[in-house]
Amino acid sequence: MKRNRYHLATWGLLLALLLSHTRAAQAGSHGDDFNNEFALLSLDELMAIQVTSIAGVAEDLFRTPAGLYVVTDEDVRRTGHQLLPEVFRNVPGMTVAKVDSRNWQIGIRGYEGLFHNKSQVLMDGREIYEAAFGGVLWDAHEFVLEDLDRIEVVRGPGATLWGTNAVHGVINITTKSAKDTQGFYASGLVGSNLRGIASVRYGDQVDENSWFRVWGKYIDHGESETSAGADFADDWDMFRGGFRFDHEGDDGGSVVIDGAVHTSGRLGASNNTTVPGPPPTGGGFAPRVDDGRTDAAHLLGRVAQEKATSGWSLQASADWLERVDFAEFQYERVSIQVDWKHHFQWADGKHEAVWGLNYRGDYDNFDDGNDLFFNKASHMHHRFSGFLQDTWQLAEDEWYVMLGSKIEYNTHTKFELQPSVRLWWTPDERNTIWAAVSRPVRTPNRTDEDLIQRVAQIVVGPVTTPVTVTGSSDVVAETIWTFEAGYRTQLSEQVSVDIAGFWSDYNDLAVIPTTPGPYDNSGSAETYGGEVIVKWLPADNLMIEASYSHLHMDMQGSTLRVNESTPEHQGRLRLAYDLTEDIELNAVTQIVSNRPTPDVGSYTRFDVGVTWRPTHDIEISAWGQNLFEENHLESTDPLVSSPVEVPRSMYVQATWRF
Amino acid sequence: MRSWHYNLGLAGILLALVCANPIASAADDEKEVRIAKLKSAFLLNFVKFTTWPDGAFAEDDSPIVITVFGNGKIVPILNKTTKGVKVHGRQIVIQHATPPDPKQIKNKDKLEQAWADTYQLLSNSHVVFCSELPDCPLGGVTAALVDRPILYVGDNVRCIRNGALLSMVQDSGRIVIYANSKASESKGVKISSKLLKLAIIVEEEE
Repeated sequence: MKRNRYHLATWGLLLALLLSHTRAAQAGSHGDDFNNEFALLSLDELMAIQVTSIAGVAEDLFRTPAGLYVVTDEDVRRTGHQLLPEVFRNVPGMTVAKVDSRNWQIGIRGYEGLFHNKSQVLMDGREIYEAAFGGVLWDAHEFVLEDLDRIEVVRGPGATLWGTNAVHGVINITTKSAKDTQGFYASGLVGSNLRGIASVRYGDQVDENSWFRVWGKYIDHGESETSAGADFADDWDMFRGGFRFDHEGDDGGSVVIDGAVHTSGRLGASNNTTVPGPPPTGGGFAPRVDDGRTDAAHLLGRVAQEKATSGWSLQASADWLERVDFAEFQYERVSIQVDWKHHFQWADGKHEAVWGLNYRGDYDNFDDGNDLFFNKASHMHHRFSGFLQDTWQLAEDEWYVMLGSKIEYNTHTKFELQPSVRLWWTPDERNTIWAAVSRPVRTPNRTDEDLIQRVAQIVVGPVTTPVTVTGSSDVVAETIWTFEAGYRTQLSEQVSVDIAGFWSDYNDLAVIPTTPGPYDNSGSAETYGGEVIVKWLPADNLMIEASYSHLHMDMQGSTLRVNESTPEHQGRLRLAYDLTEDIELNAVTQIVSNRPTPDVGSYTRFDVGVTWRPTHDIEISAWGQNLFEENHLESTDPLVSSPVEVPRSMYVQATWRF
Repeated sequence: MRSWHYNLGLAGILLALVCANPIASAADDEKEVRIAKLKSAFLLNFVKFTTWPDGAFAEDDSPIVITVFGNGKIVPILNKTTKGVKVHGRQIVIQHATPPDPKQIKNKDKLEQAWADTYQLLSNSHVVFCSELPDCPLGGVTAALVDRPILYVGDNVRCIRNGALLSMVQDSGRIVIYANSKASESKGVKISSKLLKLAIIVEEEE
């Protein structure tokens, strides 16, 4: 109670300070029914007003028939986040928990885990989840966050357009065109937990229609502390560098070439390894510290042509990664992706159709670690897919329906069909009501089929017998029926509200059975919940955004392997306030309820930062993060040896653009 | 196998529904209105992020005058967007002017007079928005009104090269702000560094 009062008082004080300094809001009843839905938006929001996640073609946020949240580069700057996974803390409906200094549990609408395998994650159209286990190695995709264009997070299935793994949602990360990142950018950060980040970028023009940028980023992250106060030896550093080239023809044609490399020889990992012991349960776990290492590179090329009512794009990418992690577990993979999309209007513009073809091929090779093995050391996985989706304007400017399906062939489960229907009504420009039914699937991956994980070792006399859990080639795709509905409304010139709710029915969840044996599909589950986001602009120089997310999970059958440890309630309050022309105050607080299994207590996070722009080119900011608590636990994962605390931290950053 | 047939059947019915649609289009009008609304919202933001010198206004409560110079399609929407809105404690007034057309005014003296009248109208403005004029004749306007503290705004990159301080340019389906490299302060018109930070800076042609 004492702590709650303290939090309340801090926020009260902050709000009082704000209200005494805010410039009066624009008056402005427009009198008649006219409403300019854009008048409420800030400049950076206006500049981001193209959303492509659901329809695959331009669609503004207000009318998108899905739970969609957009994070712009300004949002990232004004929430003080420095690493890509942290940015998702700001997205309603997402759960973000730091497992250790570089491992994250990130999920959309539940089932997060160290290797959350039910969300599609794309960066500039390139899938970045690992085909071998379905999760994302987040530290392998850092870039200069200043070069972020936007992140669109679709809460709920997006399988028709984006395919396998887009069960719970789609994270679509887009970086800026080289055209928009011209000149020098240099930034240096020094902090207590995140020890330092140095970023440099230079962009220039090649000719009238072509631009490029080159960039480099060095991250040095300090080690974590366990709940018992011991050093965790998970400090790491990494260098990343890359380039991007953009060409824009006069006829709407464009070319993008993008590439990056990264390397780290100090990828700290503190993990569990089994030790032999007597029957019946065998030995326990002992912590083991390794310095992992990683190298990676990717190259992407895209040609596209956009016209007034149609457009196409062809993209190809190659992605290589090598990593030693978790008790000398070695992983190498090459991923090749080719993607074709075409959209066009027909029936006098009443229909907008998108169709596409996609191939992804993944070759991987595993060298056994201490407790992790694979039946087959190397494996080649192919996936071919095609989709067709049509948006039909049923009644002019009011009723729309979107229908589509993806058909996929993959090496594991052969054919999969993933249909969805979305219906939405925009009775006027202030209101959008939508509903959707989807049936996405999560196809099994290499881990489901091939994994052998030692969980204990039993010693009887001279014989040591491992106790393992194993994958199975009999595992089939998990199927999910999801029903969603939502309502977006602009209550006034200053207030907008976005509400979404969902109910999902999971069948054939791949789990460890309750009786001894390999993975099977005996799991099933039901989840429901929703999100409410309220945005309020009480004054020209003040933005307040509040959100609440609810998630209820009900598992049936075996719950082993499926991480159901997701908080049921999450609340967030964000404030962006311009004290003067050159000084900004930004604050975010987040309240996360407890996680049931394994038990993690509730916590409140409070971040506050001040940014000062002494000249047009220079920006200096200071942030305090997690200020309400000296440290708190956000997650536990069996692969990590001890629960690690997220500490209170500070940093200062100087940025120079010229 | 049952779920396969079920799904296929469902997809078939849905696709058949899609193909049976006969309604006619108003998509182009809708798109035009959307763009006009978007540009109006940008103009409103530009005004918020700009300060004018004290002498730019006759009275303490004189309105901020935005003149749409060129195609006037945006005027009704801009009028509605700014109706009742106060920025820097001032109302916003919208007026419309078109550049004299030499094809219609053949007489050279009359053409000059028409330009003089246009300059007179523009000289009372605080913002001149050059709307859908591909040649963007702002070079002559800025020369004629050289001492006036006016925020010149265009809608293509050429405008910037012809003297506009800001331009909102449609690019890859979105609107991008371009700014003249001399835009931070011109004739006492000061544009906020926050706005300029979001803009692509372009050198003015000599």
